[in-house]
Formats: sequence, C-alpha cells, structure tokens
Amino acid sequence: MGFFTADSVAVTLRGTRILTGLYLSVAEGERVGLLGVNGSGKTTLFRCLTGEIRDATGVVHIRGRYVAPAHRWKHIAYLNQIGFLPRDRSVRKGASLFAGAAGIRALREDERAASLLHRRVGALSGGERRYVEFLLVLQLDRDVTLLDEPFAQIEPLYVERMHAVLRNRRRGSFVITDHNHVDVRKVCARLLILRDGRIGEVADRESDLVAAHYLPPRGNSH
Amino acid sequence: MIDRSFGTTLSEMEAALFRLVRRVRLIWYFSCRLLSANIIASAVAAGLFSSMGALGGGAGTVERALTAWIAFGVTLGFGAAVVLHVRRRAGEFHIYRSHGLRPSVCVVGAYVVHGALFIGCAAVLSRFF
Repeated sequence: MGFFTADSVAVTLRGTRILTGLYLSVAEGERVGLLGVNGSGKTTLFRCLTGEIRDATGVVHIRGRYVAPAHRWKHIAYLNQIGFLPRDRSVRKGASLFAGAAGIRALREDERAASLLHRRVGALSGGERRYVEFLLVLQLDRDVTLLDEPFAQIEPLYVERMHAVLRNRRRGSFVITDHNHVDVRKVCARLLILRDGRIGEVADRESDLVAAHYLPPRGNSH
Repeated sequence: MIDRSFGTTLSEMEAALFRLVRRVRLIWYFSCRLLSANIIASAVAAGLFSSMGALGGGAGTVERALTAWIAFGVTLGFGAAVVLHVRRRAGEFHIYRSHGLRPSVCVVGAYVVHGALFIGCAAVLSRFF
C-alpha cells in the first residue's frame, strides 16, 4: 500500500456518473501529475479526496491508516481552482486567516510575495493571487497536497519559482493537475490520466498522451 | 506529537487548543462578513413584518417590535445574508474547510453570534424606550 491511497472512489453528481471506482496511489514525497480533458472529473476527484463531496464513496488511507472524510483536512491541503482569499481584504489578513502567523511568515520569506503583503487581494493580478495562494497552501505542510490548476494564468517567471518551490520540498506528496501539461511534466515524476471516470498511467511522452486522447495527433493541432 | 501546521512543534493538547482558537476566530470572522448584509436584510424583513400590521399599537409596542425584529428579521435576514455571501464569495469557504469547519458549522456559529448581538442590542435599546 502506498503512502497515500484512494480506493473505489465513485461519485454521481446530478444523475451523471463522474468517477467510477477509481484507484489512486502516491508514494511518500512523490509528485504525481494528473491530466485529463475538461469535464473528466479532476476537480471532482480532488473534492472527493478532501471530503468536500459528501455523497462520494471510496476509502482514503494515509500512512496505511484509514482517514474518515471529516478528518481528511488534517492530512490533505488543497489549492482549489477558483481561489479562496477574500478579495476585499489585504493579503496579510487573508494569510493570517488561512494559516495564522506562519502564513504571514511564509509570504515574508518569499521576495515577491513579501512585496504584496499589504495590498488588497482584489487589486492583485490573477497570477499574483494564485502565487500567494499556492505559497499559503504549501505552508500548511500536510501529508498530501492537491493542487488544482496551480499554473493557470501565471506568468513564466512565477511558474519557474513555483517549480523551484515544489522541487525543493522534501516532505509530503503532491497531486497536481493542470492543462499546461508541459509544466506538470517538468515537476512530476509520474503522470496519470483521468478518463471515463478511471485513472490510467501514461508514460511521459507526447505520443502516449496522444494515444490517451489527451493531446491532438501531430499535425492536427488546429 | 509534532504538529507542523503552526510552524512549530506543539504537544497534542497545545495543537488542539490552537485549532480551537483558530476555529473560533474563523467563525467570528465569518460572522463579521455577514453582519452588514444581515442588518440591512433584517431591517427590510422587520419593515415588511411591521407593515403587515403585526406590531399594532398600545402598551409594549417597542418590546414587541424588537422581539419581532429579532425573531423574523434575524432569521430571514441571516438566510438572505448567507445566500448573498455564498453567491459572491463561494471560494472563501475553502479557508474554513481547510481548518475542519464545514459551511454548516460556520453558518450555525455565525447565527449564534448574530443572535447574541441582536438580542444584546435589543436589550440595550429597550431601556431607552
């Protein structure tokens, strides 16, 4: 059994079966990329794993111990897709709410984030806000971190810094999903693809992603 | 036990205490977020209620008005405030969830805080009328 395993995860939302008993296993310290077309259920899977969707079935084990949905927040950090910092408050206030003094400290330690501390969240660019939220979620330092489209809308410079932050992490496992598969492949040792409600492993080659119907065939990209 | 979520090493009891403090703080914050919307919506609800003639005249009008305001205004106003808040800032619930607070717990907690505030205000106001 892996460090983090989710077994028989299934969920039906509004009559549509989104996930059909999938199995996910991640080793300790491993970074796994989860790819999938729009609507394949990546975000739904993350929400099931965090216990946010109460109708979901499936069991989660961390370090070999069963973790009930109500207790998963203690072990799993989750960067959601839409962002969570209150837009009408300062970054400092949002960081303090989300992660207390440690959250503010984490932002102070980062040169770019430190310069944003006293600005209102609503006044930040999409990329700046995402970067700050990314740092705050990582600061929670939980056993497993789920990152839902962390690189979306972010300028290359920030993306490079995020790569560096992820690579330098020695603790905890990561599951990262993003449509920017190039960035995902740069930081992840293993790639998975979510299709038809199930997870399959793919080799880190474009031809495999084409075969998995994730990328268009060469010469047919437009 | 090592609890890293506070950026330092804590005993199990200290970590539990810190978690409790953080949760109370988050519920208080959530209550504050809803307060202005609740006051406006409560005033509208109380106005509607009084216009229905439920307040009537005679002795104890102020007390009855305040009671009506608390009972109906806070109930309807709070519901409206929550709906408005969720529609505008659904992502914020992620902050509470990350600390083990379900949205329903936040709502109940904030309702208790608002109820206490409104009853306190009513008690103070009733002394002047």
